[in-house]
Amino acid sequence: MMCDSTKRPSRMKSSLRVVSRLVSAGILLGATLATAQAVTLNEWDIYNYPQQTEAVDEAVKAFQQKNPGITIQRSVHSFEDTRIPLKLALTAGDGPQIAQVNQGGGDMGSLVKDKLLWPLDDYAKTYGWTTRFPDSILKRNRWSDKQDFGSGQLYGVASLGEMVGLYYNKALLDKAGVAVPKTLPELEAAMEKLKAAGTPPMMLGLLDGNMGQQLLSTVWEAQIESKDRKALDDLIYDVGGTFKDDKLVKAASMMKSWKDKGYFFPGFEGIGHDDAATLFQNGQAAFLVSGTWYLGQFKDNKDVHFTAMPMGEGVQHALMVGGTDLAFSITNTAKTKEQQDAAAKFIDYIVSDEMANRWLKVGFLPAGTSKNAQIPADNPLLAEAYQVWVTLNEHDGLGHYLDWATPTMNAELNQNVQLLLAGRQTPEQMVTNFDNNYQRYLKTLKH
Amino acid sequence: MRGTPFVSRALIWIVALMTILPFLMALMTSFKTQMELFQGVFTLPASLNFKNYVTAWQQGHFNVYFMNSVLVVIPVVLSSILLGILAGFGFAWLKIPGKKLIAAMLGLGMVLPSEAFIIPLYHELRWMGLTNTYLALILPQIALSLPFTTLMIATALQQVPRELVEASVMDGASRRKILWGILVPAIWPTLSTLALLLFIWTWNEFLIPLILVNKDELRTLPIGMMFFQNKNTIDIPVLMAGAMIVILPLVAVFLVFQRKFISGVTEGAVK
Repeated sequence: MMCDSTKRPSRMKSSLRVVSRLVSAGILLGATLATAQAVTLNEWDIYNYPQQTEAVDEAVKAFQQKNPGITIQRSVHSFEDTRIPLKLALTAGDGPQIAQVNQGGGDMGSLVKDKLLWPLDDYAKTYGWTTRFPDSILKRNRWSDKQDFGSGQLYGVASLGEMVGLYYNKALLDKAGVAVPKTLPELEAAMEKLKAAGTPPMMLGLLDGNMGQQLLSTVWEAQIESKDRKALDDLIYDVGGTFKDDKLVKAASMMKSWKDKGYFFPGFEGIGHDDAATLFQNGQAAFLVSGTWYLGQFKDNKDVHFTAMPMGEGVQHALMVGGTDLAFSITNTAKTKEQQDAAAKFIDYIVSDEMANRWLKVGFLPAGTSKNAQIPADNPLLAEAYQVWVTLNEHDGLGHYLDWATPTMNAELNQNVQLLLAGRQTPEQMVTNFDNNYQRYLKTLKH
Repeated sequence: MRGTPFVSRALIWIVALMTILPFLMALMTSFKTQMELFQGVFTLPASLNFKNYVTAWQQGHFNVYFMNSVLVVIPVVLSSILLGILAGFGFAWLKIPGKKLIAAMLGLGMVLPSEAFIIPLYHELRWMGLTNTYLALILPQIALSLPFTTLMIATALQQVPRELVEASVMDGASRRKILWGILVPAIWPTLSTLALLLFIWTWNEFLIPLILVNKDELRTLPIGMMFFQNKNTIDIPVLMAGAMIVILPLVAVFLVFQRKFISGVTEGAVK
């Protein structure tokens, strides 16, 4: 009698991604026949939150009014769909002409490798995407013919931006008589003062690891001057380099000392990241280092504010960890020039200032920066974040999530940060572990 | 239960509580707001509001997915049982050349994980022009259910007393009559247990509807659960509400069948 079935729904494993590389190219032609007057395009996106979905529906309507010859058939998918199902549909020749694609080697990289996406460089020139977006944002969607990440041709543009910065609770800071810190030493002094006043200084949820990973990355990149970003770029885009960096060791030592001085919220080791965010939202700690994906959740608490991560000593314009959401790409199922042109036109609209204002209206951070952005008056938190975003991009300061460096780096980071804070390894050992992981991966890349 | 010693009774109660507690916690969470969630798992929600359920129903596309789940699960269960009866009868009572080999192949079908053949299966169905149809959801799941169904039914049929069958052969009953008139009624408890198991497996299948159809209007409930997970955040109360919607039919079916189910499980253990 089989009690425990093997047919339980399971999360997709990365091994599936490997298997999908074995998928051979399809042979059937797409069924859409473009005529001279009318083009119909299928589009896949993952904007399934209610306000997001309405914003995109409106965008599609507005776009079709402007371009009477083009019909966009939108379908909403979950994030998981943009991986294997999208690839299978494209290899079989019946996928969408416009799709949101996740950045990185496993996703966009493998689609590019199988020639399933069209390069967008000509359109980027025509529509001025290369001037609208800083180079560091577009690089995330570039792949060369030799499969180099971060250089070569452009395969997508994203509509939303995200970054990891400092959330603080103004009421708690005022109570303890602490000013908003602008540098890392100021942050440490502030936490000391808060601790003395009996307020938990820093919220952290280490249970699932990613919040710890983001804190470490953010403290590291806060010490890097944005004009000296090349070393970090090369590291993340697998050009080469090393994780054995003094500033990373310093970031790790700082985190360890914060733990030893009791700056983190009590019991942080057993709290998940979403729960930590909810605790912070409820005034349980003064600071939280996390991403703009919590803006929508935190706007209900008027004491919560967002600012740039306090910078390392002597740094003028630091990097901040962040990125964009999934990029919009044109797939190989857009067979005719006409379809491709229409698809590019739609993508241009999705990343336009008009769309950016629509995103802001519903509380999301657009990837583009515009002087005439209209921020809703009832959302000061979003206004603060947008200001930080604009300043950051003026200096080309959008840094990187470190887990992009190798396919296994995410787990490596999460586990090592947990070991570090548990006092089971030194910062030097941790950095060596990262570097070993990285160098091993570089060896596997064929250049 | 009278006469059972206190210790075993207490043990049964403890196990029952351990089983049901996570369900109750999930049920409770499904009525909470994100804010109430952090106040502790065991605190009661402020009010019985069904807001999360409405969100799941609309945002998670559960309105579409629920219907699809029903449209898939019924044909899969019925066809699997029907074909399983015919195949099981063959295995149990007929002389078929290569029976051992076929049985071994069926066994193989039981141990292969679906991840191993899902990609070739996609291309096969694509070649047949079946991707993005209900048949893509139904046919593979019947095929996947058959090995287990056949073996279970064959085992049950072999346990039917030979005298019964021999007597009806003497009376000159046809094979069809023997199968449907005598054997099938004799293994009824096994069949209802099987139907329940197939229902649960088909209802919970994740990979097949994820890969073999990519049209949203054809997908089934387990896929809907992914809609509340973004790359960085998860809306836990809504996720729990979604989970409740998914498991509610399973619980209902189980309650209806539970007597039969228990007797089906112990069938053969007590001669």
